[in-house]
Amino acid sequence: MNKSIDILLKSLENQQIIKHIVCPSARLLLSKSEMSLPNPIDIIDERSAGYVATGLCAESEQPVVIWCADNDSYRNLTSALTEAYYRKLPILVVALSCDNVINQTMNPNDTIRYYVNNTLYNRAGTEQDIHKAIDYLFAEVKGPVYLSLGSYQEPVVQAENAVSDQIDVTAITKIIPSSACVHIGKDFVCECSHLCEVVLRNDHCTKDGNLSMLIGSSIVDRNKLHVGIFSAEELAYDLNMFGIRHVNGNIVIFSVIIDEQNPTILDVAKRFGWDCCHINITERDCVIEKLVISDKPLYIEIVL
Amino acid sequence: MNQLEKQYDDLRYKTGCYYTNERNKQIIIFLLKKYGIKRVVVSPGATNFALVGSMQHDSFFEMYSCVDERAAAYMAIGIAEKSNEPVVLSCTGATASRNYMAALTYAYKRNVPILVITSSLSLASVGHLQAQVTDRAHSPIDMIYKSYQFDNIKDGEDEWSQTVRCNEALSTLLDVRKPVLINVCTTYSLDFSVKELPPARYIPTVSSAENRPKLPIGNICIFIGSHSKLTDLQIQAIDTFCKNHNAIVLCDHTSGYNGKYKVNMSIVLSQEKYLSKHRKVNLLIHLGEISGDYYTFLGISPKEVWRVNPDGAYVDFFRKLKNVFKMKESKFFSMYADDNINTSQTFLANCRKESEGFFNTLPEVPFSNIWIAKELSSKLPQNSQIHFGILNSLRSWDFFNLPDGVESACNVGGFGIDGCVSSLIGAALSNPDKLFFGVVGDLAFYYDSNIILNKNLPQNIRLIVVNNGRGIEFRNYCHPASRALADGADTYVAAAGHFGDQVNSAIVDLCKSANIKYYRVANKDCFLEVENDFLKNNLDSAIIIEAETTPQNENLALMIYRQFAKNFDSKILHFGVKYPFLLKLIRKIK
Ligand SMILES: Cc1ncc(C[n+]2csc(CCOP(=O)(O)OP(=O)(O)O)c2C)c(N)n1
Ligand SMILES: [Mg+2]
Repeated sequence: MNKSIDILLKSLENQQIIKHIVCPSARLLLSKSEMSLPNPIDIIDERSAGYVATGLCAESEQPVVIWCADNDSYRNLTSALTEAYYRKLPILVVALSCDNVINQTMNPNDTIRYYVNNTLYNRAGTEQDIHKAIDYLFAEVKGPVYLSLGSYQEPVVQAENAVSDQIDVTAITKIIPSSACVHIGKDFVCECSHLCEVVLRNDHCTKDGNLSMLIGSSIVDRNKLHVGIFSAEELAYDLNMFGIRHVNGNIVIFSVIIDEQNPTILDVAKRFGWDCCHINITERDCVIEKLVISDKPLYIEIVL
Repeated sequence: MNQLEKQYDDLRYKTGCYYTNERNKQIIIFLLKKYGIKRVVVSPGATNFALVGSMQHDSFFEMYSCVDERAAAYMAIGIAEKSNEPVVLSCTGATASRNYMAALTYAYKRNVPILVITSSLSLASVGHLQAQVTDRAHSPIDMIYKSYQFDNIKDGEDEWSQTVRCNEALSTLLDVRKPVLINVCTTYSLDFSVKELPPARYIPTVSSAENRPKLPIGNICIFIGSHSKLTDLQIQAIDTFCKNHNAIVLCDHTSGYNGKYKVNMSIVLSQEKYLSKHRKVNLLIHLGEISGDYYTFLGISPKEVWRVNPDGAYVDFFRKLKNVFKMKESKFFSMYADDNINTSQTFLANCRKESEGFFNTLPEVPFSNIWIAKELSSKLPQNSQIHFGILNSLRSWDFFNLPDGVESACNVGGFGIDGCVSSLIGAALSNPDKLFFGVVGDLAFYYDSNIILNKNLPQNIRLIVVNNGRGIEFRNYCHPASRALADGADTYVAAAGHFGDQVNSAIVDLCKSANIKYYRVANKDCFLEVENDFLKNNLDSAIIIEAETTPQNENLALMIYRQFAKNFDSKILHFGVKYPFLLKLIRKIK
């Protein structure tokens, strides 16, 4: 796979294709495989990344490359690929193989115009495939081009690696009342045997939607406290859900901050009428009494 | 002869045996003759009897019978290879068509043009254990180049669609020379009394100058949907063509055209009590992709349409398609540059005069997206670009012209409100020395708001978020949802009340954290105060204006604009609103 990426980057450079948009899912894979791209533009959320690419491509009138994992997160590119398809924008989608590859053999017709290698047996991305992909970018009728790199039998990130990245949030789950329904984000593990209802999202290989699913559940059982423990990145994907008019006082979100912090989400939540606070994990006991159903949803930023 | 046999015999005796009355087969047969495809290999069966029973009475067709479908398909390949012409294959249901598959895979690889016409009971009967019915919705991609399902025709919409698709199928067959499939349904009609085949619209593909059709006499307009920036060469070709043919260019902010023959007819054609006589054109030349210029494309009324695009796709947007030109636009226009020249520029002059007359008498409107568009459009600085949100923003701004040298864009490809701000940012990243303006609604902004969480956002952006607390689109007085549900449309259709319900909007917080200068304005005076700063050519500080408008004012503005001119009695229209079935009837008769 690294070799294929190398060949691709060289060939792109030869054609003066220099704009690289990197989706979060691809960033993870590239850093695991210790590959770097020239002047990458990293964008939170595949959906935005796709649209940044269409805007960039239309304005510069040059092909643009989007890097994405070939898993569920790829499906978040579909809107922007539809846009690109109907506007005939030459966008190269590089789908990096990983765990959980999706089946690309049947897709909506009006997204990718040119598939190079999307069947299950030819996804490695040979030198020949790479040249074919670049040729497609200059075809008379332009549109999105799909190129898969890396064989799905040897994904860049092995499952064991992924597990070692998980963060223990037992310190948080300990203070949650046992009657609550608790949703736990993708990158977290915990000891939670005292909780009667726990939903783990570590089988969900993308980071979108976890807040939305919690809100959905909270609407069904309004008399049950719903607690979410999510990373700031997961919450960023679902940012607009803080403003939905259906949230109730039976929701508590723990936004787990590991190193960097950015007050934006807290400010936005506050504006939309959430009770908000920012604490250190050592101060967790002071929020225990707030973990009940009240008249407003609660957002707790917690630094581990 | 028993009673029943005698009855049918009488019928045949009375009516004679000619073409079937099943319209989907009539279309195919008529167009096969038009395209000169005559050889047919038929395998026995019932569902195809309307087709082959009609063909066998027409001496145009050269028909062969072959029992085994597999052998029939290979036989067709032999005929096609030898004659170098396409061959039609016809079979019935059951497993008949499955026997074609090996031969068609071979034909696909060797580029042999075979038109496979399989026959079936109605498409709705698939999956209900109907004897002999198989599911032909998908074919292997290395066997059939393109496939079509022609169900039994029930209305004009079906007939239109099958006519265009049949033309596409036959043109593709001749052009690509690989197998193409039409699965055509039957009702087992016994009626073969049609002596003369009713015509179907013939829409050939034109790809070279030699066989180009004649330009019709009369008004010609070029309509451009969304298009990448047209090159100087393309613009020159269009302008020369317009000069020589008394033609105009209708386009909007996504068309990439800024030549001399552009006329903005959006405000004229949007009128509800005024009918422009310039809406009628004899020929409309359709370029580009999807358009969001609703008023123009709904208002224009072409007699015939020529589609010009290198993709050669059969796009019949106006339902008047006459020719498909599979070629570059510049080639098309230079091909016709000197054909029957007419250098009077009356059409251009008249349309210009009409549209300028409207602009010069525009009434005042309250604070709204339209007001902002009118205020700002002429003031955008040179060499800047402006992006519009779907759809109310684009439509509001389509009323107005932008200064020369100001480019514009909108996500009219997928028409989503989900990426309008991201696309603006992408464009701004590509060119840090240029100002990028944007106008989006509140739903579009919040939908895509996590883009603001990214680090290193470009500073050369200027965004107006028109916050009316909902998708005003669906609450516009002329929108069907609003007409049907009135205030009830707010709850779900227009999604009012989210994102702080206007009063607690969090755009200010997003701006603060991203270091974007933020203004909130709720009336004209406040807007005018911040306008200068907003337009200043300062590339190192991004600005967002949140313009709070009311649904009442948004509506009033639109209504004032669409009803200020009058040249016919609107009673007829009101009548139509009251008695929609009458309006439908009148349209049908037309
Ligand atoms: C992804 C997506 N979802 C839904 C729609 C349908 N839609 C078209 S316009 C519109 C309303 C947009 O509201 P807003 O951005 O506030 O603009 P306004 O009409 O109020 O000016 C919606 C929901 C769409 N075009 N795209
Ligand atoms: Mg709105």
